[in-house]
Amino acid sequence: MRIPFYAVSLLTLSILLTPIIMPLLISFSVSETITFPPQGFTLRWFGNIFNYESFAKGFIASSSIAFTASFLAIALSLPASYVLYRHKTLRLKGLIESLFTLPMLMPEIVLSYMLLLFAYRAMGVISALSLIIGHVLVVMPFGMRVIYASLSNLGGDIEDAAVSLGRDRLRAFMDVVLPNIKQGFVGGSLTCFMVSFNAVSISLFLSFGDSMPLPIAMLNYLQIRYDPTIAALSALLVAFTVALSFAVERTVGLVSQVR
Amino acid sequence: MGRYLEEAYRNLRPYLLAAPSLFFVIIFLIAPIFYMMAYTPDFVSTFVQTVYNQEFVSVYLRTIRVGATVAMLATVLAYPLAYYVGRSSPVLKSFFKTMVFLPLMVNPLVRSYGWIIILGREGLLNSMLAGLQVVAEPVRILYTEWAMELGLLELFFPFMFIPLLSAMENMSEEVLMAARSLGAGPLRIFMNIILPLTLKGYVVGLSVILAGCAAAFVTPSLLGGFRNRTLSMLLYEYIDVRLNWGAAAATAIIIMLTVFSVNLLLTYGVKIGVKAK
Amino acid sequence: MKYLQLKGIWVYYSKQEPVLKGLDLEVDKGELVALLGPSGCGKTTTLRVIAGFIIPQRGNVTIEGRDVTKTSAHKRNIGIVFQSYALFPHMTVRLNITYGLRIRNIERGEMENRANKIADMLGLQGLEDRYPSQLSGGQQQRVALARALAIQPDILLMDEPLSNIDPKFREKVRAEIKKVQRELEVVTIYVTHDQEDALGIADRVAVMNKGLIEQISPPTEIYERPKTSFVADFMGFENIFPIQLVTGGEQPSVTVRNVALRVEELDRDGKYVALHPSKLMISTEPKPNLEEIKGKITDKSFKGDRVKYFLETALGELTVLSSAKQFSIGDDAYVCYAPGDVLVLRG
Repeated sequence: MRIPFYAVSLLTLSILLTPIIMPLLISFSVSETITFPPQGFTLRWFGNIFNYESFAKGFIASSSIAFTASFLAIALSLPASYVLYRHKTLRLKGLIESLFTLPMLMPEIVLSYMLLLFAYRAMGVISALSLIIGHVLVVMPFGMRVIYASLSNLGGDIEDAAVSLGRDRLRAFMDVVLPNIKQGFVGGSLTCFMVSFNAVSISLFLSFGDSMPLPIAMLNYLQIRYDPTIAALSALLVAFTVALSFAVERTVGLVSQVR
Repeated sequence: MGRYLEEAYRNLRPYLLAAPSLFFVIIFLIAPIFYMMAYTPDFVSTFVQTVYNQEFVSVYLRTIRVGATVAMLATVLAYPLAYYVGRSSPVLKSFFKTMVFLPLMVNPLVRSYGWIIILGREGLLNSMLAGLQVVAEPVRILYTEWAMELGLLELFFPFMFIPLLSAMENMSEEVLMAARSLGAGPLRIFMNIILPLTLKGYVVGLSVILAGCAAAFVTPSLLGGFRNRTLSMLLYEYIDVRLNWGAAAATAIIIMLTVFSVNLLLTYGVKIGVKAK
Repeated sequence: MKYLQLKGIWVYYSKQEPVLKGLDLEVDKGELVALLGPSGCGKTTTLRVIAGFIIPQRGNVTIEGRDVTKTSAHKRNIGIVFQSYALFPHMTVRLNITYGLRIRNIERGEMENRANKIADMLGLQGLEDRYPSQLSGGQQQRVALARALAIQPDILLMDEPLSNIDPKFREKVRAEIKKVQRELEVVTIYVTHDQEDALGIADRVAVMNKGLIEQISPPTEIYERPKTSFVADFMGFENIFPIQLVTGGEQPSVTVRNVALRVEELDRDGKYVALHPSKLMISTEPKPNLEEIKGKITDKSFKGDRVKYFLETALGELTVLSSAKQFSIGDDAYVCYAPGDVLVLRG
């Protein structure tokens, strides 16, 4: 009984985790091509990252886009989740729910292309705006899920209690619901940030010049060279996202979000 | 009069609250779909031209093939793992949940790059095979369909594992004991008890995998190369390389339709299946 | 004038299913009325209509003569104790209790005064600076009650307040609630599905079924003289049978399954007959002054101080709750009853 368990776990975990560890190992290798096992030890590739403007700029671009997109997505998610949670017998509820799940079903690359067309033809110019809109659409369902979960945990009675004591709905919501979903807020924002930062396909057609997000910059680099610079950058990225996910875990308990 | 306004406001309020987000989705998600179709001159004939085309069909078949293979591999790995982990101690469960969730936090670009390191000519796998003297020359794994499938498997495995794990956790130990006491062997237990009870979770995972494989871009393009194009890679090519935006629109529609129909089929398939019982 | 009046209340959750079907209710000043019924009968919905969270599609709600049917919930002066207590987790006990007072901009001194008084009345002294998560279930409930009472509400609504309380303490808590209610003379509507609960606390009990009140009467009356078979069944009258024939004359009786049961009063509109298990006696021989039915004991269930016997008789299955413990399964016995205890119901 034990042995098959160990076998399957080992196999699965190695499939899952090796690709993440590899860049880390290679990033210290001396050789200019990707060879395994890595030879020698050098930090030169980490230094090389900073030789490329597009990486630094890309990091800033990705962060700003992620930040803005998360902010907008949470702002939109809050009333939407609230409606879905409180008004379970609404007439158009099915329709509304489907509309909100739609972004998750839509393939990122298709969305990227469609927004490109829409922005270019209808609005006349591609700008950071369409890129951010794309990210908001990709990220919004995640934000909604987290906020909906915190609303569920809180329950609807509290708001009714405040209303019965004399507060109108809006102020009751601010007095009594908002303070208690702070966790969901922060967790949702961090989740949105992470998803946006890691999103690649959506930025494929919508990025340009200065607003090129980091993953796109990396993709471009990979088309010319294969040296371990990317490995070093990947290692840094992994560290960054792992740190972020611990932050999420702390505020919201990500693992418990796993359904 | 004031009373009526108040009551009307109350009834409309939920719609008013949902409105901004709804409008956002409608304007930037739904409208562009129609816009794309309307904008392409002669949409219908372009569509037909693009689709009724040897190249397109082979790419489409490849995409389906890849999706199905990944789904199968994921099933074979996820079911036993979910079964065992579902019946382990909370500490172990939490460990596995974290381990499986962790890769999701990492950029797919980075993960694909990791696979390149593993599967490359001088990568991990080849070094191991050469070291064990199994092969004389490095085996070409990268830029094949298999490499793509491995990458996609790693990408989507958590989405199969997590719902299955939930379903396994909800399946009580006592049900299994009852079946065993009545004489059911392992195969029967799987077919008659485990499968039906975990079906919902399995279908969720399945739909994510199939839809995901149809739509994925980064992983297939880095690991499969242009000789093994999938639908999304074809889309990219139409836009950035061939500058054939009409064909791109057609491809985009096909991708969307595939993803949507997979979802619909699976969701309603389960409902019908459950009713039939 | 009645303090609280509900007239012809219809509430629909979806087009085809009315939850309340023309409900009427009148409550006097200072009264505690219990809404008793099975889940789904509409008692919580009725509460929400009174509170203002639901506006009925048809009907009126009047409080002290004012029509409040369309007034929003936050403008009605109503105190609610929720089943889940719904305490504000981020506020201390004191802040919870004074929340309603702060909204009403009550002056500081008066606010502290009222809060202290109500906290004292409910035994919450010393807990004012704690957070709800640091309180026991019973303490939380008292805070919820204090918060609702602090605003000096016109009406107090309580939704299954004892369901989360350990059965051992229920009677005690119930008595406390009653004491506070009496002292403050506040009109209270108390929702419960537990018959014992309702009978123990209410001035009048309203038994609800499928969106309507079938009967509203003081506890003794509703327990002894239910008017319909539903109410009778709810009050524990297990032996309910449809009547075949009503016979008048010197010795009026009703016939059930060809067995004639003596009754005290004649009611030609009677449709069902009901016998309460605890009003029946089980005996080896017929008793003088009592009517009897022959039967055989098919089952026996121990209830602590009493035993429940199931007997197969010509009427059908009869249950008897008796303190006589000596009978065994398979014994032949007589079920004895007084005609005055045979209840004839019209519905």
